[in-house]
Amino acid sequence: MSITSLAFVAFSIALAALYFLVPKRLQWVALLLFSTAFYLLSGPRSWIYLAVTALSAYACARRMGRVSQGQKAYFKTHKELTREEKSALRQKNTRKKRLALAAVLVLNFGILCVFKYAHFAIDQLNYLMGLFGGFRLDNSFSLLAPLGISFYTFQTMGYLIDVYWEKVEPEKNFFKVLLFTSFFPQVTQGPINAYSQLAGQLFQPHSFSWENFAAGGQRMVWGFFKKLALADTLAPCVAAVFENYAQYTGPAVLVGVFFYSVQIYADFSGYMDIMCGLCQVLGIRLEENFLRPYFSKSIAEYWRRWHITLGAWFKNYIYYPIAVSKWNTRLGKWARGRLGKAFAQALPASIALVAVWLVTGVWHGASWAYIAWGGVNGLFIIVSLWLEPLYQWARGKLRVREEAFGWRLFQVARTYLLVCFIKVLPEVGTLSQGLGLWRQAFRSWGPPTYGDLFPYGLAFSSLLMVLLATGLLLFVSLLQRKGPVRAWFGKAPMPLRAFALAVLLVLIVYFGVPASGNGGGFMYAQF
Amino acid sequence: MRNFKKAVCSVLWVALFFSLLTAAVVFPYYAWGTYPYQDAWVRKDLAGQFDLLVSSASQGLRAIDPRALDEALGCSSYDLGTPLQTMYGRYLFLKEELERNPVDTVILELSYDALSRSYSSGYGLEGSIYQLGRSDRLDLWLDYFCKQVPPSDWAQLLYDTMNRGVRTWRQLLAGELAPSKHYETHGFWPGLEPSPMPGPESYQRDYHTETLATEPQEENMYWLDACLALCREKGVEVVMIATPLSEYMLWSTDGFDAVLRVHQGVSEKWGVPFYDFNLKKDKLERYPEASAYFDQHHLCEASAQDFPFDLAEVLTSDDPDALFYSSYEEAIHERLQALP
Repeated sequence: MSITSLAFVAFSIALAALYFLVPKRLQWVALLLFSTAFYLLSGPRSWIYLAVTALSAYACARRMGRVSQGQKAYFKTHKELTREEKSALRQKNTRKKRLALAAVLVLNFGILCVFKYAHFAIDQLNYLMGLFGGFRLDNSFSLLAPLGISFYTFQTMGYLIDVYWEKVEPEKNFFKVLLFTSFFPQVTQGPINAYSQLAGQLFQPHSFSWENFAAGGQRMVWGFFKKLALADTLAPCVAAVFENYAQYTGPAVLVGVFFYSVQIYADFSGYMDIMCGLCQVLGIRLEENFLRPYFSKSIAEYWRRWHITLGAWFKNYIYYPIAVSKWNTRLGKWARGRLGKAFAQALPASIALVAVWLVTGVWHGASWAYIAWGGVNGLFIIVSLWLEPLYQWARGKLRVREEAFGWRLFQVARTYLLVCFIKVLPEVGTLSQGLGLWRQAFRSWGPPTYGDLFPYGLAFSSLLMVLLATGLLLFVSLLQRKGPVRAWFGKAPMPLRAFALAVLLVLIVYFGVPASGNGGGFMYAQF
Repeated sequence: MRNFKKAVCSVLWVALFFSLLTAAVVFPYYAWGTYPYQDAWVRKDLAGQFDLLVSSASQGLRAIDPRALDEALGCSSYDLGTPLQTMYGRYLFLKEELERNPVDTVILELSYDALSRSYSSGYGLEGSIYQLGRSDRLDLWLDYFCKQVPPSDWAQLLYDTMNRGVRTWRQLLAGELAPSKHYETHGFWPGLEPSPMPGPESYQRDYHTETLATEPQEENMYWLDACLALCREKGVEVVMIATPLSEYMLWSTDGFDAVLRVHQGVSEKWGVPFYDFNLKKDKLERYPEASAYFDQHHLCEASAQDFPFDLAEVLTSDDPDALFYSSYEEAIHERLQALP
């Protein structure tokens, strides 16, 4: 089911109606039914994989829970145990839990890898075997990845690791785990919520609240506007530039890159607004995924403000475990004596960052371009980490005031340009094509006409719409720095709010409906 | 409950503003811009004076100028045709006009795809927009909207109507709007200039390179029967016709004879005459390929003045069957032989 269709709007209204009509203790069942229906509509076969993930997570969590509880009960009834005996028992139980965890992680990430990376892996194998004149594996089979497999796998495995770390109690009801895994507003593109943050909200009763209804509805309209009127209007322009960049002048390519940066933000954050808005109507608060990312002052900060929940997942489950692991800590200590304090601090973090960015690149796509994209992101962050003492020294020498508006503006502009440079690399196709696009951006410069800037036939009315919507987005982002815009909007008189929403709806119909097929769905759904 | 009332109230506020804004965008389209919608007003204003109605899709709409038909047959006629009109749409218009006019004859035009066309493959949204634009009765409008426009197209329909509104606003502001009400044309849509069709040298080369859908849609058959039953119930005589298509199209497209058999089947079932003017022996003389057609499917405006007289000759002929070949294959080959 397309999120931007009237069918989805009807689906959401039906869910909200049922959710508030059924007895409160059954509200989560309504969510489960609708989530299952939503998922089944995308293909019944996909649902089997999702159910396998939920079932394996449920069984593993229960197993680990029993081991932990058994240990606690044993210690309670055997107070005579010595410290060594307790330690030995703990180690034995940890091994049991680790084994169960590892098995389920391998199973689920294995399924994910097969669907997402089988073709890529076979391509690489074939290439290697080709070097030695070996046989070629057939790579012509088709694999249709289940809807949102990356997102639900990460979210559910996060729950499992939290159970292993005893941060959360294992859920006793399988259907509640199934709901956590398949909750439809987040299953296709996130946000990736922690069990401790989401589960309580999913299972606790909610009453209908006018405030939630109004704020959630407004946010949904805003999300539809971003996606349909802006992102989908820009989609064909961006595709035209990325597919045929060699035919265009430098200014046209740069406009295309700018459009791409707006498109991907409006597309992804638009989806989040639609889903977070829907959940808010139901009284459920999803984790935010964006915090004005294009206002970041460094690449590292950008990644703390773009797709926040994915970054948090990597931080919690990859970065920290590596950064604080025994071997990495020992490496830091070793480096302290030889390379100095600053490098000794940066070294373990850098190793963890390399792992994080390698996985981030691979997560985004099965291609060398994405791996390189992750590598470049990681490189920028690691280099800035290592060179931070030098930057501090230089800023001191140049008497740069950190809080000065000009300096912050420079940082924001620099980061935006860097982000654009990196973002575009994997999107054009191969890495060399990505670099080719950037070479083209600095060719064929001259006084540009409208036709030079928009050679793909963007109607003037659509351009006005894009500029208006982008300006509005920028304006709202600037306002958000001062405070909660949605709360301010909520305090405006009802007719004024209704008028503003009606204007957005008219723009959605007029610009969004004809453009709705352009994007081919949401951009992040492919990940 | 207070929460719920406030929510309903806020939705109504948004709906009200949305409706007002949409109406502001669309209003000029209905008020000045759209010929079909003006047509609904014209029909209402002139109701009670027509004794012959033409029910058709675009082929009939382009082929018959009611003023010429009035002259040829001595009647008072109106062309109810709408581009991409469905059988159901025709039924609704016929029902409306038979109720308020002393009609004794209906010319029911059946083009090659009139029965095989479906929403997804043929008439789709555009046909619905014309149909809805040409309907001024809310009950019939809703009837058509609910039965023929799937919910997945509602947004597209609204967009399309708004887009026409915006275009009309632009024309209005630029002072480019033509007179909107055409009382004198009686439903005829003038303005199609002739364009030459490919000549006989292409006939053999392109023979049957295209294929028609020949399987009639169940829904279309149902509403065609409903139209014929309605006419029979009202004591109205029906004449079914197919208007001329370019000779090149008859050569290049396969399936016309299969469609002909379906149309003849309907004709026999209801005992109404069916005249396919593509089978007419003098087709090439009356409708020269160089000057009679707007495109392969439609006659041009000048031909729409001639076709009603051709139709009248057939209707008043003692032996109309003698004027026609019996199949498309026979017709195109015989006519080719006769070419100088």
